Amino acid sequence: MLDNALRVDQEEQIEGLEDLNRVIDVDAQVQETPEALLEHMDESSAARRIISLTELRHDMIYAGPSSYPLYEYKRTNGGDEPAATDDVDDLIGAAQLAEQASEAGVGVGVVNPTLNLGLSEVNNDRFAVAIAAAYNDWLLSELDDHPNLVGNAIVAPQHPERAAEEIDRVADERDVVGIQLPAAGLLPPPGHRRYEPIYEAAESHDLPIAMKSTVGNKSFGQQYWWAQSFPEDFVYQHGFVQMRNITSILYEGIPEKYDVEFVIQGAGLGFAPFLTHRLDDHYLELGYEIPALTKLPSAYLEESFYWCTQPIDQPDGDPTYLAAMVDMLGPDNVVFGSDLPHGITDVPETLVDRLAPYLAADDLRTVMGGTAERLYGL
Amino acid sequence: MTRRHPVADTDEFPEEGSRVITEIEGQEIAVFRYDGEYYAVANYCIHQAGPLCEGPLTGHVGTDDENWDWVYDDDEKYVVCPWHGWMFDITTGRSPKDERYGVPTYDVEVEDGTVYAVR
Repeated sequence: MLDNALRVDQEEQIEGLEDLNRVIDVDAQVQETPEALLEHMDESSAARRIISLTELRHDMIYAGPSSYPLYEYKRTNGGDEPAATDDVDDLIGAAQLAEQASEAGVGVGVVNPTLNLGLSEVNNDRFAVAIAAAYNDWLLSELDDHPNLVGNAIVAPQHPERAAEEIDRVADERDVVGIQLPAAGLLPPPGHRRYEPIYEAAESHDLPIAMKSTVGNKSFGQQYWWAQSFPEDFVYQHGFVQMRNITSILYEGIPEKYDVEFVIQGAGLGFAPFLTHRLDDHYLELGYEIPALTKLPSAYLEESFYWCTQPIDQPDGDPTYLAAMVDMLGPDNVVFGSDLPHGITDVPETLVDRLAPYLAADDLRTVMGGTAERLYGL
Repeated sequence: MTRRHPVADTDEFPEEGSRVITEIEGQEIAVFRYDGEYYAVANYCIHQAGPLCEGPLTGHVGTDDENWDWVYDDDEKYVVCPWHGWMFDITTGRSPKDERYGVPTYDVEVEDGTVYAVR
């Protein structure tokens, strides 16, 4: 029945990837290492000095430890050797990403960090500010030779005024098309007034804000500490963090004050219809404690929030349900993301195959690149 | 074709916020006295069909000009559904939370001490 309701006529469907315009991936990633970033800090920087002397940089600088016993990128699939080619300790720069993106049929990738999706959990705010600037400089040097890649500059949420200055510093760079506000571990959550300098700067430079979580996010609730394995953490981490963050941003009225567009990455689509309905329902039931909004939360979501497809939700192997999620959220608000080069990548073909029978060609082109083209001025 | 239906005598609305709920042609309708005038609203919440007009009248929490401080406007013209708390302005039928949401309202006439709803 659902299949009948959603299926579009054959002549309205695209026939395959070749019918698409340029595919834009809003969630490509490089994999930066602390060592690479240290090269972009001044010799006089104490942050450089102290980080370089730190032995377990991931665990000690980024205060979120990996899940015990196996971090995903160390996974062996039961064998003796790591099965993944993207060990989290290895550097994956723009050259490798560009090659993989090109092979996957991605026309342009919007690049995000990997390690620094955990930037919010760096306890020392001076280090966090220094790391953000170093990452952005490193990223810009990486992107120079790769016209099919552009990037989100990262900011340190620990110091919103410095974050706004960082946005001012890099906003005019040709390869900077947006901001990454690392979603994991934002304390307080991102609707708090302390972050307003970031929203103000993003608005003034007309840069969308991408938000992506990461695993090993210690700030998200006491229950994280009781995850007995990597997958136990991974199942809920991205979606729950995004739900908490988006609720905060909306109910505190950020979209009423600032004209900023948000790209929500890494959590797939399935949680978004649920969240949208809960936000609306509680707004109408308990609205006396949500005075900052003048219309339904879903109206703001439709105006300025974009849901990234990765990881593709495939309930029971039936693509009809995935199509129904796109239908609920609206094809104008769904954007393709790959998570390249990581082990849980979705390539364009996977998404197109599943959605083509249910989305008119123009809507599918919008999902696969049209909206991202407008958002990022590509 | 609409016509007017007697609801109650004006002395059944002794104070601001008084209300009378009646049934007119199969539809429950509440008439409220508010700010010296009378307003008729369907006793039906569009959320889950709850008895909207059996709930309390209340003011409204908004924000100041900077969208910062929370300010209580004690103008008690919002009826709050007793089931799930959806609220509507009795003078317009509209939700103060999103103007696209509303419940039916009816014209009211007063003649010779009798309050009529027009439906």
